[in-house]
Amino acid sequence: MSNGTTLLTGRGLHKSFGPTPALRGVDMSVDAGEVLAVMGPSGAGKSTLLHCLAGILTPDSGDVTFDGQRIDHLPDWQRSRLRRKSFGFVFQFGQLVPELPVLENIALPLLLAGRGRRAMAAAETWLPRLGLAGLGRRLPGELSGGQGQRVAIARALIAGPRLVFADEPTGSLDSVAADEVMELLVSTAKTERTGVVVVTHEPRVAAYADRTVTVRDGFVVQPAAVP
Amino acid sequence: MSVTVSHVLLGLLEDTERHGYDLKQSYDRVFGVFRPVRFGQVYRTLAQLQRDGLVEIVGVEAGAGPDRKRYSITAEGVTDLERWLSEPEDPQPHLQTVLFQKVVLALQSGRPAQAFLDTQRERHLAVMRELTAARRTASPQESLLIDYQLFHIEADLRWIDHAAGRLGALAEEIQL
Amino acid sequence: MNIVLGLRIAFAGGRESVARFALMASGVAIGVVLLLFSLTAMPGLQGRIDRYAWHRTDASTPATAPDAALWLAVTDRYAGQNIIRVHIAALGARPPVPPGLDRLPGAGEMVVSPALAELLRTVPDDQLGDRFPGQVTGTIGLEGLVSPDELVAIVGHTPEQLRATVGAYEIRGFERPGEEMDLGIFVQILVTMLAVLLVGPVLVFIALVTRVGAARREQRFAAIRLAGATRGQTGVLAATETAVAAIGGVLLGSLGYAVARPVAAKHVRLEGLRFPLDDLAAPAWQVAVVLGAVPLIAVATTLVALHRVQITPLGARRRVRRRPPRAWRLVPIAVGILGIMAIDQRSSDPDAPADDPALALLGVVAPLSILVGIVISGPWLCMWISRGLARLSRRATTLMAARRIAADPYAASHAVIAVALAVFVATPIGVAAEASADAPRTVLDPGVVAIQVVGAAEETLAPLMSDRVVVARSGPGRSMIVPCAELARVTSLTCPLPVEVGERGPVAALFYPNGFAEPGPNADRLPIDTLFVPTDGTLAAEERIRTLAVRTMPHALTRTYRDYAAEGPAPQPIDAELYKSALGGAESLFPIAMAFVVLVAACSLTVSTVAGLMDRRRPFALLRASGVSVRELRWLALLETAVPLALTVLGVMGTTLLVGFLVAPSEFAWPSPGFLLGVTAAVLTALAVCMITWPLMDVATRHDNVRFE
Repeated sequence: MSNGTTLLTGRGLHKSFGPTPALRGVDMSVDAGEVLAVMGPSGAGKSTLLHCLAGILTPDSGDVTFDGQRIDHLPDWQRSRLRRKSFGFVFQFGQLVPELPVLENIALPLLLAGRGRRAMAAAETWLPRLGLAGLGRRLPGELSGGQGQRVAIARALIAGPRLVFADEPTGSLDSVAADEVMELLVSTAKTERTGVVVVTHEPRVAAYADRTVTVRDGFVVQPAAVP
Repeated sequence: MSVTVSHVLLGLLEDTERHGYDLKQSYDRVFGVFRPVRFGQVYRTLAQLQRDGLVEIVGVEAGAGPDRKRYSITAEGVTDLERWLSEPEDPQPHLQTVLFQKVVLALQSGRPAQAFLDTQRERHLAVMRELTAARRTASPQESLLIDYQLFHIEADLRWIDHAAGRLGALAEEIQL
Repeated sequence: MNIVLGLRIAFAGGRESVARFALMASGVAIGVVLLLFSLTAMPGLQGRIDRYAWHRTDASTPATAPDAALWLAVTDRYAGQNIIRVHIAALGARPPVPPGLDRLPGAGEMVVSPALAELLRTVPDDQLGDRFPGQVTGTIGLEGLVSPDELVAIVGHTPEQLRATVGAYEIRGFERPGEEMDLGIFVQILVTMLAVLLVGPVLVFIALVTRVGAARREQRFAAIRLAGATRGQTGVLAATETAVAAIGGVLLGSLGYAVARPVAAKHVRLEGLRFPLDDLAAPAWQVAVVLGAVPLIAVATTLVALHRVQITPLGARRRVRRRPPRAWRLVPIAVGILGIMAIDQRSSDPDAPADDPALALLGVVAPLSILVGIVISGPWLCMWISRGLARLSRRATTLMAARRIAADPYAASHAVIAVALAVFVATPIGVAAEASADAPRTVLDPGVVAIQVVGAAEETLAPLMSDRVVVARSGPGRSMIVPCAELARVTSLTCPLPVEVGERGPVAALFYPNGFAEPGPNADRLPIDTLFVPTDGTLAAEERIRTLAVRTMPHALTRTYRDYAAEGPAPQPIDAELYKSALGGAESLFPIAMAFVVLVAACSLTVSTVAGLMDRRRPFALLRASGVSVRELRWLALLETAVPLALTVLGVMGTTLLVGFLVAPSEFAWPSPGFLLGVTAAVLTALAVCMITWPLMDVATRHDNVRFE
């Protein structure tokens, strides 16, 4: 569970797309090793929040601090490097490179880091952990949705990130596959001592988290204290 | 159920003083879909509430029978109602009836239903987290049961989210 | 009904569908322009050959008029440019008249081409004008000129004057276009190849263009099928969409052609001469075929591409992985090589008949077979090399590029077909050019004017004579009798001089001697062949000597170092040989053709890069979100085009050299560094053009562009 040290903080985050405000002053933080779910109805700004926290988007105002360092005003190349080194990503679909076999898709972050052939050996060890044994040579197009997401999880975790961002990771899956994927994501992240921020609108997915934050209309909902 | 009925009656009385017959009609109009309340139960509950000092009789019209009495809520009654409304319910099957009643009463009385729903969501999620954690170590048979619970609680939660999304429209529609 | 619906759906997609349409239409337009220009090359070349016709006139030319004429035609030079100087005298009232003139100039009159008239105005007479003994009375019309830039003078004389002039003879008519034009087998092959070289890649390019955004279109069609459309109906939709874009592109392209044609006429030069605008026109029927066929091809390509994809209501699913290319694709190359070896063997057999039709057929079929083989073996080569690369590579981008190529080697190799064909045709020429490129182009020393005076009386040479002039006399068998030490003074030749000249090469400037010999005791009695007149080396001095020589001996041929050093082709030494072979023309068309092919290749590569990007927008955008930089994605896209390109160039060059080696192992030569440099430059140019997709890579993979899709 959370060990109490804050790893990532967003303060007063505002972000608009044209005239449409997506975030209107969000404060939230993620502790090291914590699994945090971000819930909310569609269009509430969950994904925008995740993208701002992960340094994919820069907030219009407010600041994002990771590991004690402000990251929201870093230039794009530094944020890219940070994402590559410290973060992992699992998206709803379409993140696997269609021409690369499973093994190489998993190894991709290490290959990009110039780890060469050792990357493939490392990827091999991830196959059985995610129930993908024997599928290393398959192409993404030949996998089921759940298998594809498990490949994505392996890829997100292989480089040993501090934090994995998962944006609707089970959005295209049935409940059984969704349970498998979440179970693997959370348990593997726990084993690897990696924090997870998972954006979802499904309560059963959020239930895998240590904590849930709800976003509505661009705000984080603060539950009223029981009088 | 009777605990719920008593709070619903308190809620209906908060607005204005009413006859027992009136209360029965209002109750059925809004909550009757689940189960219409019987006259006897209304009067029994009112008597109980009066005994507890939560309601009082403010007038009796000519004629016989309890429907000639007009009831009004007391200050204690309002406090009790508020406590009940703000308290999240522990998730359980067929809970939505109570949730539904709370939302309607909150809306009708102008209280913040949103806050209630948010608190309730927290409670539901907490239970789901516990169940999900418990399932990790559960036997297959137990986990089957846990799944059953999880799916039902999730259904409640979905209704809560849905209701939260429609609160504005509901507040205008609901007239008691 | 369906077509109307197709149009509505096609244009309903807002900005994106407008962008796709614009891309397709402009791609087709570029293709159409390129195609029309490639069709223009043939009439342009033919026009040039036809316009040369009357220059080829000699005594054996059939009569074109009742009366005869006396004629002496010489290819003169001024500052490295050819001047066609014709001396003519009518023998009767109705002599033959060359095209571009109403009548022959009378004695003392002269007609010149506009370009020469201009030159005469700017150059002092003793350097140029005095070569033409007459008053300019008119200009030669364009129909009598090879090019608006051609320098021609037709000088009128009395019959008596010309009869007294060495080299003049009687003609009965002028050569007319087409009469003597028989393209030899080799030229036929060359022309066929040129056609394939130009037209083939453009068609492939158009097919490529229609593939842009295929993945997105397939998604859209899946949605339409979900709404109840049948497979047939999606086909109609796809066809309508492509047809509209293609027709737009064709209209745009023909407009572009119309605009670009005068520009081309103004700037495209062959042997330093521009083309008359009228010659640069594709025949109407060919234009009609192109304009009609391009939309059909585009539609057919779309339907074929769509056929490979199973569009179900639930989405587009690629039909089973496309069959990997098999080794049989190498067969045509092997057959072609065997064919060429067979030709070589047969033609070196002295007993074989010189004009064997079977051999001629083989001569056409074998190179074509190699050509076809190169096109169809491309995917096979791409697949194997990329598989090897995937196995060996340690870098993510290389690996991704290799896997992408291996996944669809067909697409990868289609984009580089143009380059493959170009290299195939260019390599033998590059090798051939190497032999002459290394050696100096002439042995003449700078500043020396060589004047061939064969047949002139010695006393007429007096004005040219001085102590410094080297005199060479004609010996038996076209040998040149000259003291070695003297010749060495005016040329780069060294003693002892070769008795027999094998490969003439740079010695050709001495008017094709077969050998050299020291003067014997009676050498003075031999006729003078050539004078070598040293000057101070200025252009004016050289041209003054020339003018002096030509005034005394109109038939004299003159050469200077400058003639060879100048840009453009070496001067044709003897007018009878002037442009006898169309090959000379076709060969020098290659630089233009190569530039054209690089352009087509660049377009193809760009389009395939765009198509590859559009198809993988989401994975790319998500990779970028995960911290992959745009630079790496660009590098990836560059690799995906550069690898097949480099592979193809090397593969084809290797094949061509192998053919050369197998045909004549003893004469085998590696391509010159200059040629390799040229090819490298072409490849780099094509890749550089490809980089115009770089901003697109950034925009298309920005995360906010993908998040709502």
